[in-house]
Amino acid sequence: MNDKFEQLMREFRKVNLGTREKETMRTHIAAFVTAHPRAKRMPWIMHFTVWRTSFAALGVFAVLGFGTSYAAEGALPKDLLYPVKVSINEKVRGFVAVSPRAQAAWASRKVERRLEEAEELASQGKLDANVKMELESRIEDNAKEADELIAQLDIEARAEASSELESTLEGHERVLLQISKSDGESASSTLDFAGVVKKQKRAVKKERSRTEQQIKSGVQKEKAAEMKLRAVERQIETVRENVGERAEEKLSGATELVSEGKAKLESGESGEAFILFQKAGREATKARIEGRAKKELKIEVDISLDSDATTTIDD
Amino acid sequence: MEPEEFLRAYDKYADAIFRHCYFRLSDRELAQDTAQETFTRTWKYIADGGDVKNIRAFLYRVAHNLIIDEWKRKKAVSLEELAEKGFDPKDDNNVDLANVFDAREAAKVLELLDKPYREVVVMRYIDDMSPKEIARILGETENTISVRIHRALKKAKELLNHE
Repeated sequence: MNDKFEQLMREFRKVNLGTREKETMRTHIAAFVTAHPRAKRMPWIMHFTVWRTSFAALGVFAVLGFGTSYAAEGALPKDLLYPVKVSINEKVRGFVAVSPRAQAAWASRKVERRLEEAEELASQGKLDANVKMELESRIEDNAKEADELIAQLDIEARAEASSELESTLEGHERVLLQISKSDGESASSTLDFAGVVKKQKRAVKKERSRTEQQIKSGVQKEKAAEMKLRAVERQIETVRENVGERAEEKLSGATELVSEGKAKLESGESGEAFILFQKAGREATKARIEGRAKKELKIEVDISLDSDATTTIDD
Repeated sequence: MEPEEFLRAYDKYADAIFRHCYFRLSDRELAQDTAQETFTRTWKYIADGGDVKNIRAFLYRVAHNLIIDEWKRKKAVSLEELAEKGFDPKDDNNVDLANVFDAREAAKVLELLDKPYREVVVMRYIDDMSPKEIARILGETENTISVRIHRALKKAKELLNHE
């Protein structure tokens, strides 16, 4: 009996779609596939297994998926996906930074991400009191983390990383000051915010200066100066490619400083050379930031803007 | 997975997925709709960045879930009615059954089986899946499935004897 039943069940395997039915269904499915293309090519970061593992561990994988995290990268405070950007994406990118140098660089980059968010909101007149408070608090936390990580690096790396962070803070402070001049809705809170950024910059500047002095009087200064020269020349090249119009004008400060530094190097004053190359690097970073502000936010930072001369509430 | 590869999977598995839906839902049109939705949902998952390691197993899992949804929503048409219609012959895909009476018997028995039994019988004998594959799709242990198949056949035997 069972054999018969099983046999008949097997007969039922011959039941198929009709040829036309199958073709029609294929047409519908092909149209669906075309209408729903695969998610955009994901940033390199998304292909790391550790990213997926972290995601799963945080228990959100099944809910969010890759597409959402990728979309979250453009989120600003108050956007629905902002928590994904800061709590998940940034945490995961932190896992991928392996060396102490990479970790310090990522921590500094997080500070910059907050500054970019502030700029974008400020340029739209949306930097209100609540958002300002949230961003200030996040910047303080991120900057503290960056400081701690930078402090653990060897001396040359420390000098470089703190120089980079200082110039990042200064560059964005200048952009924010420029925005605050526009008399927009959030002009005064933008100015306040610039003051907060300035405070952070001063703290980092102090550390950077101290480290540079140590290098200046140290034994490895020649090697440090040569390495720094190569690094800053590469940096200037990269910025030149990306900054767009008026690149030479924006980079003139940096290129001049490199020439001065080379002269010092030739005359045996490697310590001085190192310090000049660091300064050149800071100028290049500011040029990058101002180039980005022009491209993304249509903000042209006045070349004569002197952030140290501007009074803020904290002064 | 690229679109071309996905459509090749359609060419390969469309009939099997349709058949699976057909014997569990007892309605040809509904089975077609469900089969189509199985593929579109699978593609949506892939398009959104989902990783599909075994497309065949994935398709069956999606189909299974859609069928469960359908059962909850709708009362299934009698399988016996289905057998009487002669499986809607289309083009060259007629079921060539030596004994239509036997087919009706089998169809009736299948319908009379409780859903968990019908499910495993369809998957084992019509879809030609191993107990291990069935277990994976239904989220059960292989042992549970083997036992269920055994009991399903036993029940089918009883029902056939009473016919």
